[in-house]
Amino acid sequence: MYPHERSLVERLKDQPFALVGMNSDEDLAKLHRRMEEENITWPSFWNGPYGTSGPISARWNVHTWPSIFVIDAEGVIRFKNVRGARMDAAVDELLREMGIEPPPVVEHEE
Amino acid sequence: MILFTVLAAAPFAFPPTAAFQESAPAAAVVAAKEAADAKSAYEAIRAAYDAELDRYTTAVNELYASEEWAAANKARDREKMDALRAALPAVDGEAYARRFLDAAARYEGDAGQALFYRGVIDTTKSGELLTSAYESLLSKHAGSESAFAATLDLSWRGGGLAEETFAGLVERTLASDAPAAVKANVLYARASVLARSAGKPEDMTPEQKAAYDADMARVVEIAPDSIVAYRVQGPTFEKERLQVGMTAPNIVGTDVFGNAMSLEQFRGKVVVLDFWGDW
Repeated sequence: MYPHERSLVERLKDQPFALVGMNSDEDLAKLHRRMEEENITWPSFWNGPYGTSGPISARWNVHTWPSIFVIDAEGVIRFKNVRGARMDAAVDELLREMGIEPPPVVEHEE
Repeated sequence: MILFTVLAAAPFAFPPTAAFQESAPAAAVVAAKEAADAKSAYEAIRAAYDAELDRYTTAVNELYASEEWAAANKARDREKMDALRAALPAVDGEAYARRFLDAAARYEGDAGQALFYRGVIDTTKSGELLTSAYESLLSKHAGSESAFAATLDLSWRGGGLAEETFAGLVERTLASDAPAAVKANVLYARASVLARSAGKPEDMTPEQKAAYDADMARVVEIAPDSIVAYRVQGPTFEKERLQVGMTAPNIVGTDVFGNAMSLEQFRGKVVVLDFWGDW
């Protein structure tokens, strides 16, 4: 996951795009170390001290990790649970709707 | 646009030393010191347990990456695979549960005692120990964060308790002056255990279904902003608010560094909202 996410963030760094995490780890100190090791620079909400039992995933009825929602610039949910190449394609489609031609996807390790 | 706040919700604020608020000042000072002592004593045991778990996880990963495992797997040699797994340094959870229980006895009368009961619940597989730890935690420290956390897990740990014991534990908690959030957890657990006993929720008898629905409705009624209420309402919320084409509900919370963050602040950008964890 991380290599794909890093390349997505890098490719679209100058575009109106944001990768926003909803993190479900219990131990924040450990998470901070891992984020540094893995160069995770994008923002993440925190699901609280009860990990995957936390309030936000409960509210959003999320029971599988990872779960993905792709939301357009108007705030409308447009795709759910697209991964890999389909995630890139979904994001690119929404950017094109805004009249933006996104830079091409470069090969990445999954 | 309906907003909801999650991390700022009331059920998560339990004053851990509330039991001492009416004590004389000198006793309060002693109590505060004891609570701090309890926390560091708890964390020491917990750290040792977590380190053993980490070692075990590493060993499992190394085994699965080994040539020996690959060969046994390829040959479908079940016996060899079982033997390789059995040779891993398994974590003796019961030893840690006993350490937590011994420590709990030393902190009688201290609010910090709740932590040790939670430690027992997190480490034991013994129905008897689990029962007594839940009983002690809920009868003596129902207002603690530990009681909230341990009852949040009760929906899947409840199966580890004898049926009558579980029923009694639920009844006593509901009749006690435990916070609404703890009672909601316990109601949710009772309904979940009932549904699981029937196999699937659809397989419940009409009487069971009525009891299940009553408990779940009560969860939402007594603690509408609690995690378990969100769980109860999750499928409906997904159907009514989270379909493709619908405006995403706002999320008002904090980021992993404790800074305020909302989903709406990313309006104007294409957003990939990724529910993730580092595991």
